[in-house]
Amino acid sequence: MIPPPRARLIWPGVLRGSNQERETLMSRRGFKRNLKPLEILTEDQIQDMHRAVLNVLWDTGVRIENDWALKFLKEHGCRVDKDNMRVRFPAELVDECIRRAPGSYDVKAPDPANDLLVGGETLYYSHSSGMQTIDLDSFEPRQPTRAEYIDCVRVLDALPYLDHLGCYPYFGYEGILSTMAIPEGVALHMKYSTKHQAGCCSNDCEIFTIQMAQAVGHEFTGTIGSSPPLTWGSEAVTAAKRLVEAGLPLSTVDGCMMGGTGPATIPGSVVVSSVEQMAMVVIVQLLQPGHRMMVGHFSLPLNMNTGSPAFGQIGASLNNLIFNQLWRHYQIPIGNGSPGYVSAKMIDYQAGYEKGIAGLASALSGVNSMLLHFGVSSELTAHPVQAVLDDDIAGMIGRFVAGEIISEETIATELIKDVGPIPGHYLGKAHTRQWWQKEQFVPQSADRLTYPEWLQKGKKQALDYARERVEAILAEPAETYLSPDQEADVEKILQEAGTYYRKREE
Amino acid sequence: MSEQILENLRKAVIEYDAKAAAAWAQKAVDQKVDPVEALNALTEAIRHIGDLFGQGELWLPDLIAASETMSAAAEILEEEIRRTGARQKSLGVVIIGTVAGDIHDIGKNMVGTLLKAGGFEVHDLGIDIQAGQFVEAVIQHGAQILAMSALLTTTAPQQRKVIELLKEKGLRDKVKVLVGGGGITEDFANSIGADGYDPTAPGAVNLARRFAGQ
Repeated sequence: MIPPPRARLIWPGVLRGSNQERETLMSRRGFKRNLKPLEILTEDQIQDMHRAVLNVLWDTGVRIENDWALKFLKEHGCRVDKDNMRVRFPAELVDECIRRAPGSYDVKAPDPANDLLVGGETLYYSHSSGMQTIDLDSFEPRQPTRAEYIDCVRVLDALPYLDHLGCYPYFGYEGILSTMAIPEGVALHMKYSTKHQAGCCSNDCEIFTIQMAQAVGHEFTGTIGSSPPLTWGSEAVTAAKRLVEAGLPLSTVDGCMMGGTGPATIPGSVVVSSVEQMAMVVIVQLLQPGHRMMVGHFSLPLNMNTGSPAFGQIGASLNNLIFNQLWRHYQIPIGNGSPGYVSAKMIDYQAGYEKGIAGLASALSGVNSMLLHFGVSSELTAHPVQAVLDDDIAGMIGRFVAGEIISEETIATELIKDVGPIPGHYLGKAHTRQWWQKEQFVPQSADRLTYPEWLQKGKKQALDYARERVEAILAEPAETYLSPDQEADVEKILQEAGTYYRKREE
Repeated sequence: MSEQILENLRKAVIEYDAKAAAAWAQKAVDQKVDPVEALNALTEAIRHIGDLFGQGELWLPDLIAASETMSAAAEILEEEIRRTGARQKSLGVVIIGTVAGDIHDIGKNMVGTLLKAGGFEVHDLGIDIQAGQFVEAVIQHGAQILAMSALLTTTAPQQRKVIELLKEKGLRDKVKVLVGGGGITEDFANSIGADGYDPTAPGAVNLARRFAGQ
């Protein structure tokens, strides 16, 4: 019996081990940025931005629509106007809370191989979300079924460069109460994925998602959103408090629309976003110094024709660049949401360049986690086939920012001497086998055939390959990762959630 | 012992270890292992590598490294076969090379390796091969198939020259001509009177197998 050949090396992004080069390039999961982050502001300009953030926090303040927070912040030295729910933050307190926030932190996944180290130079990917799925022939939206929702989670779980699951991914499915969309979705993530999951916290759903996470022993990152300009709603503040008390990591997200809910200028809108984020940094770090948190940025230009967000615009990338540089200065982990959302209506050229450019800009400028996969058109539609295509973009960008190793082995002088001029070649060399897949990124869905082969093999495009890949993933038996007892616990919590929301609607 | 030597020959190819392959081949000769059987063990291993390459499980550097490993051992075994007059079983004899003026050999090496893996006796002439050298090799080895590669459009016409020379020597009906390479299209192959063309290495091997009546 012939022993199998040595295992094919796959790109280091999905490998583990103690190989020195690999560790230099990679974090445990995801990518490690080895390029100096792209910085477009000078140190003086960063100081100008920081002063502006502090000035707005003190002079204008932030509206915080939560009685507990108003009292709590007053006790810690903020100036609070209870009637207008306006909180003004002293610079010393802000600086102290920035210092308390961790520069990086560990996050557990159900499978330890999927654990994350958020912050520093790590780069992770997650997915955006869509209200509905999309028909791949007509590109018309429709509500997904529960089975399609599960299929979607399974595909996202299988993608090598999607490091953790995010909110939803679909906003529910056929026949589900809209208030139950988040808890039901979180439960399906737990059942069908071993990746860490982040989930939205709104409408009290965190009561149940935290209970589920605790019941099955998973960590869960709760995501809370501000209400620009310069406002935190009561639900978001309550959710933050619940997450901190549960010891679960937290991710914030802003949503400033340039020219609408923020200044039309990028620096101005970054200041508005940063003031909102900083207010939450203060609340969280006063509640629990050192609590794990990431600031997520999702700011877009406003489409001045339609009044809707201009997804995929280059202005959003420039906005991320400045935001990321400022928050790297604060040494607080950063997320970017806008790369995952585009104005394209189909899985097409526009979708590719909007995601590719935005993703690369965020990665180069120091983001730690970005949404990239899955969204087809704005927040309206999403599809697993798009996620498969996006995974190639994620891998390419990750490989790019992983940079290069300069060593005796990579410079390869001895090898060059050994091979010499023609008829020498490098193909049969062990060095080639050892290095080529670390140096190149081989996309899974791009067509890379020669032209005659492409003709011979049916003229397939990237979309065809991606569809085949989704079919192949779903052809595997569906694995579930919860024990019967855990499933029963989750089901019980879902029933309690259903009762809670039905009562609230009565 | 004989089985252990054969197993180590297979292992050496699969582990791309040319030194070990040559050492085990020499051991096979020293210990009077049937050299044809030893060569078959190498072919078995390279076929396994070729299959995995065809399935996308292995890549070009793996295929070429395995081929070079096999060659290191095959040289020793073929010499022994010649010395002892043992007879090899094969699907047929193939002459392969890159045409005159062209020094590109990646595609040619791929096809050569997969032909060996497919059970053919392959004589690789190398690169920059003149028409006369191809024809001479066909005669010398009694080849049934001549496979020519040309990457460049400027060197592709050399394939026509070789076919014309085969006609002149009265050999055209005795040998099937396979052409390939980046500079070649199906229309060009038809226009020069080749018997077969395929843009892929596995496709070229399928054509060769068809020519061999498989």
